[in-house]
Amino acid sequence: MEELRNALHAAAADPPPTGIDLDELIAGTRRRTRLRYALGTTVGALAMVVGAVAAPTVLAPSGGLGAGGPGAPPVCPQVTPTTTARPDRTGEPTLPDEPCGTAAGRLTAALDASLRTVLPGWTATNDEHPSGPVRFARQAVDAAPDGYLADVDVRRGAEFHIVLVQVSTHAGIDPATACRQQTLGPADTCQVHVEAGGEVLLTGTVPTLAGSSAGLGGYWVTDLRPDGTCVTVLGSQALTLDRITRIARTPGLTLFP
Amino acid sequence: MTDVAGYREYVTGRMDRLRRTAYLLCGDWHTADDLVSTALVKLLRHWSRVSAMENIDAYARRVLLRAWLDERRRPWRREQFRAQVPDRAASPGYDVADRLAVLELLAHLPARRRAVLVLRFFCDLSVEETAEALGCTTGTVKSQTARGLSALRTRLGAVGSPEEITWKN
Repeated sequence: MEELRNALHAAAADPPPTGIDLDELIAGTRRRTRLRYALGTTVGALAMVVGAVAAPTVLAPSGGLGAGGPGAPPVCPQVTPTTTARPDRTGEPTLPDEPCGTAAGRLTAALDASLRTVLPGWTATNDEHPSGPVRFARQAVDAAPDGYLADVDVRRGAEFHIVLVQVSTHAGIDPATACRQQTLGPADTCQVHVEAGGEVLLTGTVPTLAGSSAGLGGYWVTDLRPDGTCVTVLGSQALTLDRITRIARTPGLTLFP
Repeated sequence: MTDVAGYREYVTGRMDRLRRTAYLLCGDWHTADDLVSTALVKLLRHWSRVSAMENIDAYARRVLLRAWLDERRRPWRREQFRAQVPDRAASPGYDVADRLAVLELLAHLPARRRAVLVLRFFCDLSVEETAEALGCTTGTVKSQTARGLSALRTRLGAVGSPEEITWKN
């Protein structure tokens, strides 16, 4: 046994310098975590206020409790006792009455089809452990407006990127001032594009993004739709702004079918 | 992510060990770095909870193992257990051929059996700790260890590997 032990230690001896940049990893993860829970929300002053009062959530089970596989968090969180007061969300847009499970399934199907179209040849899974099919899950934070989040891992050969897709309500976003109200870093950018029919696209860049083989920054696109739906997609720059925009504008990604 | 300094201190002290473990599991340093990165991101996401754990190392190892097993389940996984010359000098007592032979032998084992051997004989975990890390029973660990060692012996006999890695039970 000692010989096996020695052989294993010898085999792993003298590793080459690591490609892991801890500072980058921490910065990227913090940015991603912030974006994951607050990207859609930081696009509006109201959401920023709510975001400052981040608290555990109590979400009413309004539909089926789908799951992404053994060990995966539930798609629709169940009610749990809490002593934490919910933030006052009076006046904030609320989700339609569609059951959570139904909405999550519908949005998942729409995103799945969109990814196949926009990223042909890529394989998409969810980015949770254990990984499984792409899926939307109800966001379990009061810091963000009610909505659904898909944490997607897209791969093609050795190349991989994380794509975050959030579908929520507008949460009082004013397109005229949205970029000024964002919590932008010095290297972040934000632009507003008003489309025909009342659709407003906010696009921007973030300098670093964890979870990408390319080690590049990311693009984010927020699609404010006339029906009240807000779709935000964040992905690596390697996926191109055009593709990320096409995913964000997927017609089926709506809260009001 | 409230205690980034604590996280940084922990990771700085464990990075090397995690990389070596990942390397023995997957067989190449680039993938090892990918696996460790994945594990470190997950560790950071839950650091406020993880840092309160009694045995953070066990949790980190479990996350790394899951990342690797998860990676292996993916259809596009990159298996690179090939005769690839390391870009660093070999350590004294084992030449490059010996080290490659070890990796080759491990590569031919089923994933969980390989993990059992790495955890027990590289990470020096007990049967109980290995069972906990892999989420299986101690009986499974014992049987996987026996089968893994047996398979290594069989392959050593077949390929006539160097004497230095002729392991005895």
